[in-house]
Amino acid sequence: MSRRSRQVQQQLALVATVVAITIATFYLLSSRKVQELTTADTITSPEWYISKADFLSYGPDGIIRSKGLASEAIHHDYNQQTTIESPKLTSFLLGTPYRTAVAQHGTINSKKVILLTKDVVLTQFPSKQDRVLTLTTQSLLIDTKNNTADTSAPVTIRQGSGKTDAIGLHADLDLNFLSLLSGVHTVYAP
Amino acid sequence: LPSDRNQPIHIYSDRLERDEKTAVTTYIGNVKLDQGSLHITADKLVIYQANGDLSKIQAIGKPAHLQQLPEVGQQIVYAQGEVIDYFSDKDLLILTKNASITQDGTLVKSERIEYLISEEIIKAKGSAEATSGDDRVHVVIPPSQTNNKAHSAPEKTPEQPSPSQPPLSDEE
Repeated sequence: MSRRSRQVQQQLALVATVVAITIATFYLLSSRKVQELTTADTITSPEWYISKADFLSYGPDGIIRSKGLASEAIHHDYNQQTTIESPKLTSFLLGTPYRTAVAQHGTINSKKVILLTKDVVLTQFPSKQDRVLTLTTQSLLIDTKNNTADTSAPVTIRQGSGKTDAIGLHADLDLNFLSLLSGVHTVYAP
Repeated sequence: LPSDRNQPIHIYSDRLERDEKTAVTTYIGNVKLDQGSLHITADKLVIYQANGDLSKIQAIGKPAHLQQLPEVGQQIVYAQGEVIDYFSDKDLLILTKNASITQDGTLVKSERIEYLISEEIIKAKGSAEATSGDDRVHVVIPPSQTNNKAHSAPEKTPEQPSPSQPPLSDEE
Protein backbone atom coordinates (compact mmCIF):
# COMPACT_ATOMS: atom_id res chain seq x y z
CA MET A 1 0.00 0.00 0.00
CA SER A 2 1.56 3.26 -1.07
CA ARG A 3 2.56 5.85 1.50
CA ARG A 4 -0.03 8.31 0.19
CA SER A 5 -2.98 5.93 0.65
CA ARG A 6 -1.81 5.09 4.19
CA GLN A 7 -1.93 8.84 5.08
CA VAL A 8 -5.43 9.13 3.69
CA GLN A 9 -6.53 6.17 5.82
CA GLN A 10 -5.08 7.73 8.98
CA GLN A 11 -6.86 11.03 8.34
CA LEU A 12 -10.15 9.25 7.77
CA ALA A 13 -9.74 7.36 11.03
CA LEU A 14 -9.06 10.64 12.88
CA VAL A 15 -12.19 12.30 11.44
CA ALA A 16 -14.29 9.27 12.37
CA THR A 17 -13.05 9.42 15.97
CA VAL A 18 -13.87 13.16 16.33
CA VAL A 19 -17.36 12.63 14.95
CA ALA A 20 -17.97 9.74 17.32
CA ILE A 21 -16.91 11.80 20.36
CA THR A 22 -19.11 14.74 19.31
CA ILE A 23 -22.15 12.51 18.95
CA ALA A 24 -21.53 10.89 22.32
CA THR A 25 -21.19 14.25 24.12
CA PHE A 26 -24.31 15.66 22.47
CA TYR A 27 -26.25 12.50 23.40
CA LEU A 28 -25.09 12.71 26.99
CA LEU A 29 -25.95 16.38 27.41
CA SER A 30 -29.31 16.20 25.71
CA SER A 31 -30.65 13.42 27.87
CA ARG A 32 -33.55 15.03 29.73
CA LYS A 33 -32.49 13.83 33.13
CA VAL A 34 -29.08 15.58 33.12
CA GLN A 35 -30.36 18.86 31.63
CA GLU A 36 -33.30 18.97 33.96
CA LEU A 37 -31.08 18.56 36.99
CA THR A 38 -28.75 21.42 35.96
CA THR A 39 -31.43 24.00 35.31
CA ALA A 40 -33.61 22.87 38.18
CA ASP A 41 -30.69 23.12 40.52
CA THR A 42 -30.11 26.90 39.81
CA ILE A 43 -33.77 28.13 39.59
CA THR A 44 -35.73 26.40 42.27
CA SER A 45 -33.24 26.28 45.05
CA PRO A 46 -31.72 29.71 45.79
CA GLU A 47 -28.45 30.08 47.59
CA TRP A 48 -30.24 31.59 50.58
CA TYR A 49 -33.70 32.87 51.51
CA ILE A 50 -34.57 35.27 54.32
CA SER A 51 -38.01 36.36 55.36
CA LYS A 52 -38.39 39.70 57.20
CA ALA A 53 -34.88 40.70 56.25
CA ASP A 54 -33.32 43.54 58.23
CA PHE A 55 -29.79 44.49 57.32
CA LEU A 56 -27.58 47.39 58.50
CA SER A 57 -24.26 48.70 57.26
CA TYR A 58 -21.78 50.89 59.12
CA GLY A 59 -18.93 53.11 58.07
CA PRO A 60 -15.33 52.64 59.24
CA ASP A 61 -16.12 55.19 61.95
CA GLY A 62 -18.79 52.86 63.31
CA ILE A 63 -21.63 55.23 62.42
CA ILE A 64 -24.65 53.68 60.72
CA ARG A 65 -24.65 54.29 56.95
CA SER A 66 -27.61 52.38 55.57
CA LYS A 67 -30.43 50.17 56.69
CA GLY A 68 -32.53 47.83 54.60
CA LEU A 69 -35.81 46.07 55.35
CA ALA A 70 -37.57 43.57 53.10
CA SER A 71 -40.42 41.16 53.62
CA GLU A 72 -38.40 38.60 51.64
CA ALA A 73 -34.84 38.45 50.32
CA ILE A 74 -33.90 35.61 47.95
CA HIS A 75 -30.37 35.21 46.62
CA HIS A 76 -29.54 33.16 43.49
CA ASP A 77 -25.98 32.03 42.90
CA TYR A 78 -26.23 31.52 39.13
CA ASN A 79 -26.72 35.22 38.43
CA GLN A 80 -25.46 36.62 41.73
CA GLN A 81 -28.75 38.51 42.19
CA THR A 82 -30.85 39.06 45.25
CA THR A 83 -34.55 39.79 44.79
CA ILE A 84 -36.22 41.72 47.58
CA GLU A 85 -39.95 42.12 48.21
CA SER A 86 -41.44 45.31 49.72
CA PRO A 87 -38.00 46.80 50.25
CA LYS A 88 -37.45 49.88 52.41
CA LEU A 89 -33.93 51.25 52.15
CA THR A 90 -32.69 54.12 54.29
CA SER A 91 -29.39 55.99 53.88
CA PHE A 92 -28.06 57.96 56.80
CA LEU A 93 -26.02 61.16 56.91
CA LEU A 94 -23.96 61.64 60.07
CA GLY A 95 -26.14 59.14 61.80
CA THR A 96 -29.50 60.69 60.91
CA PRO A 97 -31.90 59.32 58.28
CA TYR A 98 -31.42 61.30 55.07
CA ARG A 99 -33.10 59.36 52.27
CA THR A 100 -35.51 56.47 52.18
CA ALA A 101 -36.60 54.47 49.15
CA VAL A 102 -39.56 52.10 49.20
CA ALA A 103 -41.07 50.00 46.42
CA GLN A 104 -42.99 46.80 45.82
CA HIS A 105 -40.06 44.89 44.32
CA GLY A 106 -36.34 45.21 43.98
CA THR A 107 -33.22 43.37 42.84
CA ILE A 108 -29.64 43.86 43.96
CA ASN A 109 -26.83 42.62 41.72
CA SER A 110 -23.25 41.77 42.49
CA LYS A 111 -22.14 45.30 41.69
CA LYS A 112 -24.47 46.62 44.43
CA VAL A 113 -26.79 48.23 41.87
CA ILE A 114 -30.37 48.20 43.14
CA LEU A 115 -33.31 48.20 40.73
CA LEU A 116 -36.52 49.19 42.47
CA THR A 117 -39.79 48.64 40.60
CA LYS A 118 -43.50 49.32 41.10
CA ASP A 119 -44.67 52.26 43.22
CA VAL A 120 -41.19 53.53 43.94
CA VAL A 121 -41.09 56.45 46.41
CA LEU A 122 -37.81 58.14 47.21
CA THR A 123 -37.98 60.65 50.07
CA GLN A 124 -35.29 63.11 51.07
CA PHE A 125 -35.51 64.71 54.44
CA PRO A 126 -35.06 68.43 54.94
CA SER A 127 -31.64 69.89 55.35
CA LYS A 128 -31.51 73.50 56.53
CA GLN A 129 -34.82 75.20 55.69
CA ASP A 130 -35.77 73.19 52.58
CA ARG A 131 -38.88 71.03 52.84
CA VAL A 132 -39.20 67.28 52.36
CA LEU A 133 -38.66 66.20 48.77
CA THR A 134 -40.51 63.13 47.48
CA LEU A 135 -39.96 61.51 44.13
CA THR A 136 -42.36 58.87 42.79
CA THR A 137 -41.88 56.69 39.73
CA GLN A 138 -42.37 53.10 38.55
CA SER A 139 -38.70 52.12 38.29
CA LEU A 140 -35.48 53.49 39.73
CA LEU A 141 -31.93 52.25 39.31
CA ILE A 142 -29.76 53.16 42.31
CA ASP A 143 -26.02 52.65 41.94
CA THR A 144 -24.88 52.53 45.57
CA LYS A 145 -21.20 52.64 44.59
CA ASN A 146 -21.39 55.78 42.45
CA ASN A 147 -24.35 57.05 44.50
CA THR A 148 -26.49 57.88 41.49
CA ALA A 149 -30.14 57.22 40.64
CA ASP A 150 -31.55 56.94 37.13
CA THR A 151 -34.82 56.18 35.40
CA SER A 152 -36.30 56.62 31.95
CA ALA A 153 -39.83 56.31 33.32
CA PRO A 154 -42.16 59.23 34.15
CA VAL A 155 -41.38 60.84 37.52
CA THR A 156 -43.22 63.20 39.86
CA ILE A 157 -41.35 65.35 42.36
CA ARG A 158 -43.06 67.21 45.19
CA GLN A 159 -41.34 69.75 47.38
CA GLY A 160 -42.88 72.58 49.35
CA SER A 161 -45.50 74.23 47.17
CA GLY A 162 -44.04 72.82 43.97
CA LYS A 163 -44.98 69.69 42.01
CA THR A 164 -43.01 68.70 38.92
CA ASP A 165 -43.83 66.01 36.37
CA ALA A 166 -41.25 64.89 33.80
CA ILE A 167 -39.96 61.87 31.94
CA GLY A 168 -36.55 60.49 32.79
CA LEU A 169 -34.22 61.45 35.62
CA HIS A 170 -30.58 61.36 36.56
CA ALA A 171 -29.64 62.23 40.13
CA ASP A 172 -26.19 62.54 41.67
CA LEU A 173 -26.96 61.70 45.29
CA ASP A 174 -23.52 62.86 46.51
CA LEU A 175 -23.77 66.29 44.92
CA ASN A 176 -27.51 66.47 45.65
CA PHE A 177 -28.04 67.42 42.02
CA LEU A 178 -30.84 66.09 39.84
CA SER A 179 -31.69 66.47 36.14
CA LEU A 180 -35.09 65.80 34.63
CA LEU A 181 -34.62 64.75 31.05
CA SER A 182 -37.75 65.72 29.11
CA GLY A 183 -41.33 66.89 29.17
CA VAL A 184 -40.99 69.03 32.31
CA HIS A 185 -44.10 70.63 33.81
CA THR A 186 -43.98 72.32 37.22
CA VAL A 187 -46.85 73.84 39.19
CA TYR A 188 -46.15 76.11 42.15
CA ALA A 189 -49.28 76.57 44.23
CA PRO A 190 -49.79 80.17 45.43
CA LEU B 1 -53.20 91.69 37.40
CA PRO B 2 -53.03 92.15 41.17
CA SER B 3 -54.74 88.75 41.43
CA ASP B 4 -51.90 87.12 39.47
CA ARG B 5 -49.92 86.49 42.63
CA ASN B 6 -52.76 84.37 43.98
CA GLN B 7 -52.67 82.14 40.89
CA PRO B 8 -50.59 78.96 40.63
CA ILE B 9 -47.40 79.27 38.57
CA HIS B 10 -47.12 76.80 35.66
CA ILE B 11 -43.70 76.22 34.10
CA TYR B 12 -43.03 74.07 31.03
CA SER B 13 -39.59 73.20 29.62
CA ASP B 14 -37.62 70.53 27.81
CA ARG B 15 -35.30 69.80 30.73
CA LEU B 16 -34.75 70.73 34.37
CA GLU B 17 -31.77 70.78 36.70
CA ARG B 18 -32.12 71.14 40.44
CA ASP B 19 -29.28 71.79 42.89
CA GLU B 20 -30.60 70.86 46.32
CA LYS B 21 -27.67 72.44 48.12
CA THR B 22 -28.24 75.91 46.70
CA ALA B 23 -32.02 75.39 46.20
CA VAL B 24 -31.67 76.64 42.62
CA THR B 25 -33.84 75.10 39.90
CA THR B 26 -32.98 75.70 36.22
CA TYR B 27 -35.48 75.06 33.44
CA ILE B 28 -33.81 74.65 30.06
CA GLY B 29 -35.20 74.67 26.50
CA ASN B 30 -38.46 76.24 25.22
CA VAL B 31 -39.32 77.54 28.66
CA LYS B 32 -42.79 78.93 29.27
CA LEU B 33 -44.10 80.36 32.56
CA ASP B 34 -47.74 81.28 33.16
CA GLN B 35 -49.25 82.87 36.27
CA GLY B 36 -52.63 84.37 35.63
CA SER B 37 -52.06 87.15 33.08
CA LEU B 38 -48.27 86.99 33.50
CA HIS B 39 -46.57 85.03 30.71
CA ILE B 40 -42.80 84.58 30.24
CA THR B 41 -41.06 82.75 27.41
CA ALA B 42 -37.29 82.19 27.46
CA ASP B 43 -34.51 79.78 26.59
CA LYS B 44 -33.67 79.32 30.26
CA LEU B 45 -35.43 80.08 33.52
CA VAL B 46 -33.69 80.00 36.87
CA ILE B 47 -35.76 79.87 40.08
CA TYR B 48 -34.14 80.87 43.36
CA GLN B 49 -35.83 79.75 46.55
CA ALA B 50 -35.37 80.92 50.11
CA ASN B 51 -36.81 78.75 52.88
CA GLY B 52 -38.75 76.83 50.25
CA ASP B 53 -40.49 79.89 48.82
CA LEU B 54 -39.77 81.53 45.45
CA SER B 55 -37.59 84.55 45.97
CA LYS B 56 -36.49 85.37 42.42
CA ILE B 57 -37.20 84.19 38.88
CA GLN B 58 -34.61 84.94 36.19
CA ALA B 59 -35.44 84.45 32.51
CA ILE B 60 -32.61 84.37 29.99
CA GLY B 61 -33.07 84.46 26.23
CA LYS B 62 -32.23 86.15 22.96
CA PRO B 63 -34.35 87.93 24.11
CA ALA B 64 -36.64 86.64 26.82
CA HIS B 65 -40.20 87.93 26.61
CA LEU B 66 -42.68 88.87 29.32
CA GLN B 67 -46.23 90.18 29.13
CA GLN B 68 -48.75 91.05 31.79
CA LEU B 69 -52.09 92.84 32.11
CA PRO B 70 -51.58 95.44 34.87
CA GLU B 71 -55.26 96.13 35.49
CA VAL B 72 -58.56 95.07 33.97
CA GLY B 73 -59.41 97.48 31.18
CA GLN B 74 -55.79 98.56 30.66
CA GLN B 75 -53.52 97.53 27.81
CA ILE B 76 -51.12 94.62 28.16
CA VAL B 77 -47.52 95.51 29.07
CA TYR B 78 -44.95 93.76 26.87
CA ALA B 79 -41.35 93.60 28.08
CA GLN B 80 -38.24 91.95 26.76
CA GLY B 81 -34.57 91.72 27.48
CA GLU B 82 -31.74 89.23 27.35
CA VAL B 83 -32.08 88.91 31.13
CA ILE B 84 -35.37 89.45 32.98
CA ASP B 85 -35.32 89.31 36.76
CA TYR B 86 -38.69 89.09 38.54
CA PHE B 87 -38.81 89.57 42.32
CA SER B 88 -42.27 88.39 43.32
CA ASP B 89 -42.08 89.73 46.89
CA LYS B 90 -41.36 93.30 45.68
CA ASP B 91 -43.43 92.93 42.48
CA LEU B 92 -40.35 94.26 40.74
CA LEU B 93 -39.14 93.52 37.23
CA ILE B 94 -35.57 94.30 36.09
CA LEU B 95 -34.81 94.01 32.39
CA THR B 96 -31.22 94.14 31.24
CA LYS B 97 -29.39 94.02 27.86
CA ASN B 98 -31.44 95.22 24.88
CA ALA B 99 -34.25 95.91 27.27
CA SER B 100 -37.55 97.39 26.19
CA ILE B 101 -41.01 97.78 27.64
CA THR B 102 -44.08 98.88 25.77
CA GLN B 103 -47.72 99.50 26.57
CA ASP B 104 -50.38 100.92 24.27
CA GLY B 105 -47.76 102.28 21.84
CA THR B 106 -45.56 103.90 24.45
CA LEU B 107 -42.08 102.40 24.27
CA VAL B 108 -39.07 102.66 26.54
CA LYS B 109 -35.80 101.17 25.35
CA SER B 110 -32.46 101.11 27.15
CA GLU B 111 -29.77 98.91 28.63
CA ARG B 112 -31.51 98.52 31.97
CA ILE B 113 -35.14 99.06 32.94
CA GLU B 114 -36.69 98.69 36.37
CA TYR B 115 -40.46 98.32 36.43
CA LEU B 116 -42.36 98.45 39.73
CA ILE B 117 -45.45 96.62 38.53
CA SER B 118 -47.98 97.43 41.24
CA GLU B 119 -47.03 101.14 41.28
CA GLU B 120 -46.53 101.19 37.50
CA ILE B 121 -43.26 103.09 37.83
CA ILE B 122 -40.57 102.65 35.18
CA LYS B 123 -36.94 103.62 35.73
CA ALA B 124 -34.66 103.34 32.72
CA LYS B 125 -30.90 103.72 32.62
CA GLY B 126 -28.53 103.74 29.65
CA SER B 127 -25.17 102.06 29.81
CA ALA B 128 -22.47 104.01 31.70
CA GLU B 129 -20.25 104.69 28.64
CA ALA B 130 -23.14 105.72 26.37
CA THR B 131 -22.79 109.26 25.01
CA SER B 132 -25.00 108.86 22.00
CA GLY B 133 -26.86 106.28 20.00
CA ASP B 134 -28.59 103.13 21.04
CA ASP B 135 -27.14 102.65 24.50
CA ARG B 136 -28.94 105.67 25.92
CA VAL B 137 -32.53 105.70 27.12
CA HIS B 138 -34.94 105.95 24.20
CA VAL B 139 -38.61 106.78 24.80
CA VAL B 140 -41.34 106.82 22.19
CA ILE B 141 -44.73 108.34 22.96
CA PRO B 142 -47.09 107.80 20.03
CA PRO B 143 -48.65 110.87 18.39
CA SER B 144 -52.16 109.77 19.22
CA GLN B 145 -51.36 110.46 22.85
CA THR B 146 -49.67 113.84 22.27
CA ASN B 147 -52.50 115.06 19.97
CA ASN B 148 -55.18 114.03 22.42
CA LYS B 149 -53.90 116.68 24.79
CA ALA B 150 -54.20 119.34 22.05
CA HIS B 151 -57.73 118.27 21.01
CA SER B 152 -59.06 117.90 24.45
CA ALA B 153 -59.98 121.70 24.57
CA PRO B 154 -63.69 122.28 23.43
CA GLU B 155 -64.00 123.22 19.74
CA LYS B 156 -66.27 126.31 20.01
CA THR B 157 -64.27 128.15 22.61
CA PRO B 158 -63.23 131.52 21.09
CA GLU B 159 -59.52 132.10 21.18
CA GLN B 160 -58.56 133.50 24.52
CA PRO B 161 -57.34 137.12 23.83
CA SER B 162 -53.86 137.50 25.00
CA PRO B 163 -53.61 140.43 27.37
CA SER B 164 -51.96 142.57 24.67
CA GLN B 165 -54.61 141.75 21.92
CA PRO B 166 -58.16 143.38 21.65
CA PRO B 167 -61.07 140.76 21.72
CA LEU B 168 -62.07 139.45 18.23
CA SER B 169 -65.68 139.92 17.04
CA ASP B 170 -67.67 136.88 15.65
CA GLU B 171 -67.78 138.05 12.00
CA GLU B 172 -63.99 137.68 11.51
